[in-house]
Amino acid sequence: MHHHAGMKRKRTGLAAAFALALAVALFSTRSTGRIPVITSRSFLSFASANSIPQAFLLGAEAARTAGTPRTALLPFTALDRAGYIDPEKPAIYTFPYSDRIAIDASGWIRYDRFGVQIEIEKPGQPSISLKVFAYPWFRAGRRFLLRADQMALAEIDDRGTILWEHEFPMIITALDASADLAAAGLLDGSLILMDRDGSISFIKSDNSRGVINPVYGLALSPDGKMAVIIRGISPKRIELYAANGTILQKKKECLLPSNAPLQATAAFSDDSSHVIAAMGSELYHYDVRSNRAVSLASEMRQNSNLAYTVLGPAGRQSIAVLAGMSANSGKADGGFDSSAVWILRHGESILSYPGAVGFSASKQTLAFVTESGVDCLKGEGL
Amino acid sequence: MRILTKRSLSIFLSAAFACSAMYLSALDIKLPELSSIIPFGTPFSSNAKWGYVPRIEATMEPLSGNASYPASGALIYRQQEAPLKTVFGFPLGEAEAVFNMDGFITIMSGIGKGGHDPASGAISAGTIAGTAGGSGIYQQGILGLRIFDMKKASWINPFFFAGGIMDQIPPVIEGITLIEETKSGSKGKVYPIQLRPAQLRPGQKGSASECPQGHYLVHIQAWDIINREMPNRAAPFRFVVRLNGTSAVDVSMISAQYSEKGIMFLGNEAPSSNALAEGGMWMVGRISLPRGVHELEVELSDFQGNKTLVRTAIVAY
Repeated sequence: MHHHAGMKRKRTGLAAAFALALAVALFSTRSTGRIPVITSRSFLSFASANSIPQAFLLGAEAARTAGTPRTALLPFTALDRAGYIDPEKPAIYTFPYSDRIAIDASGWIRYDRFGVQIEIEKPGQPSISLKVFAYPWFRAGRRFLLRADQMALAEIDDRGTILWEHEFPMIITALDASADLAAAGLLDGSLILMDRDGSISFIKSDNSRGVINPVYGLALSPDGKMAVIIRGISPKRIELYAANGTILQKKKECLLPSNAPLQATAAFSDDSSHVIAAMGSELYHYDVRSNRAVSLASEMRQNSNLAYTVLGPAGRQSIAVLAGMSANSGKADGGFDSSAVWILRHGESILSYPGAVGFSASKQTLAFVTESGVDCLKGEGL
Repeated sequence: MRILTKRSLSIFLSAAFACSAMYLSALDIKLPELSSIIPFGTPFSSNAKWGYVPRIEATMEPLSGNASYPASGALIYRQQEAPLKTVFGFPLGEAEAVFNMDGFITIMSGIGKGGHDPASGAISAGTIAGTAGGSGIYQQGILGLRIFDMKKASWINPFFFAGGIMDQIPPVIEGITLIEETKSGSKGKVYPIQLRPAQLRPGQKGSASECPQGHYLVHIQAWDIINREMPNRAAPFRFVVRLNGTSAVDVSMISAQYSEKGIMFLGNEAPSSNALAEGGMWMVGRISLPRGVHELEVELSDFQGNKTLVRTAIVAY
């Protein structure tokens, strides 16, 4: 509690400088895109949030009867609680968690950072303890386990049954999944694709000249037909692959003006037209058609206290990015002093939300998660 | 091709082992002074059904409380702890990989606060990367260290580079089990072997273990304790199985090979779970038992050469 209060004080002190720094970072390098018109906005406070409603607890069938199809509910994660947003009412349903959580439309998994206490919880059903040594990772409506030594991946169903599993010879440095495909990048530069049944395609990196080319990040297009990987040290490249099942073919590559050996986060936009990639304080826009990568936020390159994380597609050719600032150099310090979520369309900022710590989106709604509640925005051009 | 006799095969295996050890000792890697270490090969989390595999890292507690680079080289990969709980973080937490000109990669994981400037790519051995532990799956004070040999495409045992640790207690053999290997390669019937010393002479029957003639997978339930200050159960270092005085199996935790299907421990096919069954049973190799009376000798060593020997008799019928 004491730590929490101290962090808040620090946050207040740094907020102004941080907002300015972010503005310089993004607006000085790219012109602002078309500003969307917000037609409705609802701030749903955690203080007045409901617990998970009985209709929800009774499961999908009962929820449908009650007129609240669960697919319309938007899962979210905040710093000490998680839950669902009903954007139509609007209403919010939350529950607290202490260590870590992964949540999707079917329920959630609480886990500890040591990777040993893993509880599958599904509304209306008793929880299931998983006897695994792993971190759960959810993506594209699918559930995976990343083994705690970062050397193996498994897909599980909503009861924790392992559907398929693969061990890799090197540590996994990048992961992504679409509805029908999962991909892992390894430290030695290898790229592995796994189809829905877990059938595998292993593309080994050419390290024959004694040069190692780690995969720093990867993104799969929503339809699973394209993969982008960020690979190599000097030079660092963005490589575009076309996928046909687990068959991959490299189509294009372009140089990335970065030598930072940092793990990257990356995501395709919903229309697969472009990718946003982040590595520490560096942020890039990669246009698929022109095969061009452009640095965003170049003004802030020297500021190692600023870090970007790509959160994922935000609808309408947009991608959400979390930007955070910490007073220290950011090494395992357990968080930011202040943060913001940016919505970038083709690399141009169309919306920003200072103070946001998370984000969730559906076709009609952008939900910015803060420390005190969730702000649901609807509008034209979102 | 000249066929090796059983005797020359035994000499060859021992020589290969010695050469590997010499090769590793020539690498320029030095671990800091440690107050504890869980060695390479020791299984992770015994409660896990998925994830109960031999570790390719040494999980160690530096005496200084700091994470210092064990070798010089170029920083090729840096993984950061998730900045907020709303973002997925990888289990190795704060991790750094350094490529050394000799062709090996050292990976430290679980690094804590402070230390080396991440923008700087050149690393000097001994430089502090941060405090030890506190990120990813690692408790405060605890780090993971992995070493990959690019030339030999294998993960090598970091214990080789830990100076000042005296292993004083020999490994313990709790059980030996032979599992029948069927013609299709699948596992058949299980035959636990009695561990009392063999007193059987050829032709005698009664107190020996018995099984049908055939091909068997040798499983050994065993563990090691390094010393009284480091009382955690660890993997034994070397497993030697002699059948009728001739070396049939000689495998060790000196390294684990890279394969597209995963990691190969103790000469087993990948994935690494093939080397380890529930309860700490190590799958160490295969033997063939023709009809008759056989003397089976199992010798386990720890890293510093403390040995435990079990000799028993098997009647194959």
